[in-house]
Amino acid sequence: MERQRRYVFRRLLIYAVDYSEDEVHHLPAPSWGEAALMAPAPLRLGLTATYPEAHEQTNGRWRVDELIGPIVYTKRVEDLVGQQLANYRTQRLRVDLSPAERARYDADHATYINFVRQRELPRRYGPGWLMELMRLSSSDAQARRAFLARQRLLRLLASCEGKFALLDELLREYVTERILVFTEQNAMAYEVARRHLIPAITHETSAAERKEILDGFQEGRYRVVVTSRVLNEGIDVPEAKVAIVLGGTSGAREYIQRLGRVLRKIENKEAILFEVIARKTLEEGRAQRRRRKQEVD
Amino acid sequence: MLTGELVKPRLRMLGSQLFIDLLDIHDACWLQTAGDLIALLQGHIGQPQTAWEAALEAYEGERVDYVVVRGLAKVLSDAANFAPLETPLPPKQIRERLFSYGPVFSNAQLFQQQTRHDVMQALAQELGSSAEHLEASLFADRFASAILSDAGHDWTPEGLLARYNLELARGVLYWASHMRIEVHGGYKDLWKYLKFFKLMFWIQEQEDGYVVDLDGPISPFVSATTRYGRQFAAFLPALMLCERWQMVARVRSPQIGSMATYRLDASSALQSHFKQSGPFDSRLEADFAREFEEKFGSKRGQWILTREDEVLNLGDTVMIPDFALTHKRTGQRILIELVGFWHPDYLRRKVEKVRAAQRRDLLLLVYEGVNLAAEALQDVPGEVIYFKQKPVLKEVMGVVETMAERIAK
Repeated sequence: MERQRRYVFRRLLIYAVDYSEDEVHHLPAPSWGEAALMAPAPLRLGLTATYPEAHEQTNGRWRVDELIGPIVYTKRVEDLVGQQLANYRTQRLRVDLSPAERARYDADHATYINFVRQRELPRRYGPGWLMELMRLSSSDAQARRAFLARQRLLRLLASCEGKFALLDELLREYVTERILVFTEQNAMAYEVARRHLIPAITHETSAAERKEILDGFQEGRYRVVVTSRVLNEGIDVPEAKVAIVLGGTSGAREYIQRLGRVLRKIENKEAILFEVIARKTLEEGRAQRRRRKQEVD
Repeated sequence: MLTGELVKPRLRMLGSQLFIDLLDIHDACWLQTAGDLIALLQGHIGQPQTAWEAALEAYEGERVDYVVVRGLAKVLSDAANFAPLETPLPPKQIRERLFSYGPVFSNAQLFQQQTRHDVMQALAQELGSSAEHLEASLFADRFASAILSDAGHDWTPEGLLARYNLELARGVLYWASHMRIEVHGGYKDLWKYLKFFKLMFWIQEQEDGYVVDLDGPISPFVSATTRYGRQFAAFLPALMLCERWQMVARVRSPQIGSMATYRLDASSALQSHFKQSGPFDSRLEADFAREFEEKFGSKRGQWILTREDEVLNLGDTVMIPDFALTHKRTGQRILIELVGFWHPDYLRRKVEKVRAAQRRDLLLLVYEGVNLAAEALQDVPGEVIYFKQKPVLKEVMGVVETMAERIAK
């Protein structure tokens, strides 16, 4: 984070006259916003694939239009497919929880959702209700139990056995393709790396090793790379034409950024994005909501 | 260093004043928790960091005061030592070797004849190691794999609670833009630590002590905010070594995002873990003071000897002469600095300071063996006396009288 912020500062100096910022959706964060504010640039241009939502620009966060100016141009992903971007399809794959996992999931889910419903958190606190749950959990024993239940079930969903089994199958099936695997959590990325002996890139990976891995991936030395959240944006891995997202809990932002990874156009190859989610869990609801939202956009 | 989310919940705002919810270090319940955590840490010596983390999570359980539990644990973890696991090859090399086979599976494939088991066995054999050891070595360079080697500190439950309180205050100062300190005594260590932590400070003299202004980490004049912030926060215990003091800091409270005031003074329950240095820096000084007391002390002489009570303000730095002699009747003062057996670098800085001070009332007592060329001190405005074994007190007092007369003219 500190490194990235410095990087922005350096860029601000370079663009002292024309301030142009990529990945502009970071700007509402307090410190990034200040960086932009202090840039002595009279002309400003921002680029992003995921413009921040209204609620992400309030509550002590900066507003992008104040820092950069209004939106002047938008282009939808669909309009670029086949020309600048590769043709792609997304495929949602569902896995079942094992009976033991199911029992644990159902118990935790009940604890969590009953509390949220009982206290009517979403209705009373709007989009920031999860923050409210966290705040409550440091004084209210019931809230604390609900929050812990939520944490446990997210952990379970992130690393349920069905996802490992399906990943195993996909890696065997796409045996000639370069594949990027995305996980929700670091622990899962390291577990995948361990099981299949493939390199992992997380925020702990040193810059030198990250470069070695990406170079290896480009050259074909490594066919599969697993990563947790760090390759979501900013780095090109054009060789990848298959992406497997073992998550389901990520927001629309990451979903699109991840798509962007596999969509850099090379020849006329079709890219595939697999989203692996656990059946009859809240991952299904999230994926559904995301789809609906994209259709509305 | 406590992280923001461990500090924020312990802060309270009252108007524009910021307060910290400190723990009562005699509270039975907190003492119990602190004791449990210390025992837990002791029980995990020799185990990986992840095991310690998992044990903490289990201990925390459903407690709603988990912010405090985590804070106490963070204080323990920060002081503890973790050592990397020994591996047959550097972990990065092990990964490069193994991952060149990936992806591997539990059974043989058309394109990948070797199973995971085969690959691990083959490399283990080549390195003269076992598959289990190789397994443990794979990500041994992650902090998670490091082994808790020792607690790093001999903790008591009270000591842990006191240290936690101090860390909360340090956490607040991490967000300071400016700090003003007023001290009225016992500030010898203050100057030492101000300089030790390389803080930016200005000093003004007052009738009864000093006012020190410091730039805080979030001041616009500070560039390396994070590093300076750590140093700045680390400095706090030095303040508590002073006798009478008060401190007021402007902080941007992370809770509300606006500026707030945080005050502390000598009555605070916070405890310093810094060692108070002894009254004398060296044998030489102690002997000098004792001999003075014997020969010229109390009623016998005209002069009173005091330790390091005058600060020569040189702008961005200070010089504190070892002794001051105050004339009982006239109140006239002569400052004495003993230049002992120092390293040449230290000596060079010392001479620069003496010169910068431009004080006619400064008497230097220089050890002959120190190899300080006479020319180096030629243009110093005060007086210089050289000595072989120890300063000859009679000679010193003679020069002091001469200086006093000259200055009085």
